[in-house]
Amino acid sequence: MSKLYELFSNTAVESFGKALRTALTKNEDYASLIELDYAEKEEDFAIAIKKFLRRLGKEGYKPNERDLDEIMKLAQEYGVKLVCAAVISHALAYPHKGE
Amino acid sequence: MMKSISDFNGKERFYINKTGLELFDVIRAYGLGITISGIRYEEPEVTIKDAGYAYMLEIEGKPPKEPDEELFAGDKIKWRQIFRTFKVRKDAKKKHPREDLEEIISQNFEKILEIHKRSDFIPEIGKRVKEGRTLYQTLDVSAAKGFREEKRGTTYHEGSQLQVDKYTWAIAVLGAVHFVSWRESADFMTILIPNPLDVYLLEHREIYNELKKEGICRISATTTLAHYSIKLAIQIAKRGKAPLVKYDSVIFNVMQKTGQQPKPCGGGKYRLDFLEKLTESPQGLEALEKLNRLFPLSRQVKGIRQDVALATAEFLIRPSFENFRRWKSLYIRGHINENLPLWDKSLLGEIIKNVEAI
Repeated sequence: MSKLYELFSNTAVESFGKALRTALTKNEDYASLIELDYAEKEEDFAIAIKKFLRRLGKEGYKPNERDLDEIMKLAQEYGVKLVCAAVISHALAYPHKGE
Repeated sequence: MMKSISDFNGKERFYINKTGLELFDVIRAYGLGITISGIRYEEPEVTIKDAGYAYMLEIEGKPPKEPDEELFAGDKIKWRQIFRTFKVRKDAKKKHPREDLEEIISQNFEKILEIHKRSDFIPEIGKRVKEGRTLYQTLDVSAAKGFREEKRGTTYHEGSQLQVDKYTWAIAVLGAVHFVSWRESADFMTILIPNPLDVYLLEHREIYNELKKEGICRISATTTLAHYSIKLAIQIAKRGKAPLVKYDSVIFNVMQKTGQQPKPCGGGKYRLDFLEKLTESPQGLEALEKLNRLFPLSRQVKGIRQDVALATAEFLIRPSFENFRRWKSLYIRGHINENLPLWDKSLLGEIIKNVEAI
């Protein structure tokens, strides 16, 4: 099984992916997509996540604090590129009923 | 009584020793297979196996004494494509290669079968071969003049033809006419043929005929190769868990169109491992069907849909993490700008499972 799939199956990654999908479809937040897509270092990733969470605003789905801790740990463990690719991949999947 | 070397468990065995010219070798194998089984009666049954150094053909039943006449009929366009580089001249003393082929096969049928029963028969290839015939670039681009000889300095010379013995040439042409998938676009031509790991010829012909009806994306040679391979993988998957055909790769040759004759552009072998892995699960197969729809059949498609098709092809040919990144970035833009459909999570997961991530 690839590392990318391990990340894709992670709940924190899924949570951020779901939030990104909402941000893209409802808020047209393309800036966050680009920032996550181009993040290579941990600092870039932390800034991109910070901006993304701020842009999410009060409405719509938001990842919780545990997800945030987890995703930062994953970025250290697996590397930023893999984590970002897994998050963006979730944004490619359509929402299931109730999402 | 001594048993013949070609007699294995009541099956007769024929050999196609490889020369290193991949396309040429594989069309010889298919060509010999169809020469033996024929088109009209499809008997005896032929199985082709890739043994690494050679292709082995196993025949169940007795080989015929004479060739099936229908071998020399068939699609006129296909014959023209194979002999594309042959120029008809009014004062030509030579016969048209199609007539020549018919004569060679008809007059030497038994001899052709006989030499291929020998496991040590290697085709004669060189600049001058006794009674040899030209090895056209449509039979393997590596045979093209521009590929083999360096052209330096100011003196122009055409380069020399590569020749091959007439028996080998004849079965190669038959293999090309009856089994090669030839896809053309405005500026390139792609020749595609699956490599037979263990193939029952009758089943292979069925697959070939099914694929012939299908449209293939011709944005670039890469999309043509990837799209053709997806369609091939779907055809095999449709045949259940124990298909009568097993291919390991698709052999391809590409030629560039010019105002004059087509020029060699490259070739190689595309391994089907990634696509095969996808077909192992129902979700994977569904994902493959979805990828199949990402390749537009119209050449007029431009913009993000064209970019997505190109990125999908690159990713399928080399399912690396970098290619996946590029694909998903373009796909999401395609979804935003052109409303490309989103994925079911499980289907996307099947693709991601097989990405070569570091």
